Amino acid sequence: MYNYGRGVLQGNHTALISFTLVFIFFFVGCSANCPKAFAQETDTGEETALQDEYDEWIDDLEEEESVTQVRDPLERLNRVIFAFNDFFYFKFLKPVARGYGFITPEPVRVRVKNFFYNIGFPVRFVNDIFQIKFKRAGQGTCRFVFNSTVGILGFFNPAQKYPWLNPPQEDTGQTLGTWGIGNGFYIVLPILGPSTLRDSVGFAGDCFLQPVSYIKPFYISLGARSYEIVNKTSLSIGEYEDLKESALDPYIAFKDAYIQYREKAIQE
Amino acid sequence: MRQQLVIILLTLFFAIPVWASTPADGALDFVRTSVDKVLTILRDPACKEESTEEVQRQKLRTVVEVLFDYNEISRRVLGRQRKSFTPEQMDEFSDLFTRLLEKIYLNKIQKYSDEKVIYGKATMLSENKAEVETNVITASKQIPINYRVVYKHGEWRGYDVFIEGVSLVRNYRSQFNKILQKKSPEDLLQQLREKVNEEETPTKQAALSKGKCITTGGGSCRETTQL
Repeated sequence: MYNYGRGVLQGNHTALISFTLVFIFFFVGCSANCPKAFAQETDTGEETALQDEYDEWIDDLEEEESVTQVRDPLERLNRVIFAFNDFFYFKFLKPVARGYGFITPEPVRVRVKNFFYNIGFPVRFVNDIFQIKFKRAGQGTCRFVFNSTVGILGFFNPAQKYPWLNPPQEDTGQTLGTWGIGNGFYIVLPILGPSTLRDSVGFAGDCFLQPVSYIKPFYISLGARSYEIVNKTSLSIGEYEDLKESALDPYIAFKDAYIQYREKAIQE
Repeated sequence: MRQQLVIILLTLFFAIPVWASTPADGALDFVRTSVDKVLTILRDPACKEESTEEVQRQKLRTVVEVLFDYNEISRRVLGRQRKSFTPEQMDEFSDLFTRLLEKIYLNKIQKYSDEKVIYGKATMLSENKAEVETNVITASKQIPINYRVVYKHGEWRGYDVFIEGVSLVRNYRSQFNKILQKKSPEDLLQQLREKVNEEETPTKQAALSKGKCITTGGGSCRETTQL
């Protein structure tokens, strides 16, 4: 009798421990897995509405913080150049790129793109140094040596398989950005497209660092750069159209996309 | 005593899997499930014929509606400007913007078939928001696409998508803000109505060229539809 009673007591004890453990683990696990789940289960409709209002308020604050306004004093001129670039793309660049793409197989075009990327190594290297990103400078150098030799002058990209050999790309505009220089104002460059005052200065800097710029006579250098652009365009036909197609005001859509894209590149 | 031990161990055994998962994992699972469903539909050979294009679209729509919370996106995309909208205008805006997004997104993904999606890490941005990184790998490049999801009313839902670092919500917000600087909400709605109706046509053209391609027996189907 006594033993039996003790057994029951012990049994209960075990059950209690188990139950507590289940409860603790379930509670911790679930609250980790689904935040606020418990709060919302016990919520009345009114509290949920309040919670939503609070969330919206937070979102508005975040929105205000996240927006980097880049001034656009040249908007009217920019819009004219934007329209010209649009015309140039559809009437000239796209047909040429498409014709070129028609006679050149895609793998060849990808190799050409690899080659031009590889040869632009000095731009990335110098800017890594200017941004005190020595590790990246080293990675970039390894990549350049690897692709120039194993990848046969950079036409192939064996480095692609190794994530540590692919540091984010740096350019002079980004270097100026990390030095704390602001965008200035928005500029649409003829043919080259969206830019800002800072990035236009950066672009000039990149040209200095770009080996292709030093080819003599200058028209061969220009021809090489043009070819690079045509080759690149042939691999991305449809991207410009997609963004333009989805926008209500394409000018603003491209402006904002450019600013966001550069912001992220500078952060990296 | 041994019995007790067994019970406790069993308890732990069942409890640990729940314990191991974190909120960020929940977000990753949610995005992975939805995107995998989209990929399955896109790769389903039965869906690739012209006659089933509309069926495929309908299937995709159902999955995408779970992935994205269109009401949340509509609200965010207007930001503070939504205060100048009447509730009726807000409803119409939400409806039109949903249709615009669906068209753009579905038109775009219906072209794809052989792309690979690699899932990256998920990071919590705040106590109920997370960002899930994915990479879409095509023949010539990698496109980073990150999904922002929020945990609300007991489930994860997408509220923004970042393509190569560009936020879709922020991009539309900058356009709407610009339009609303000079024009009324009604003008914006009118512009949206026109946009949504004009978007109808490319779909039909895509359907036509896809049909043409099949009759020529093309493995090059993708190229033709991309034109």
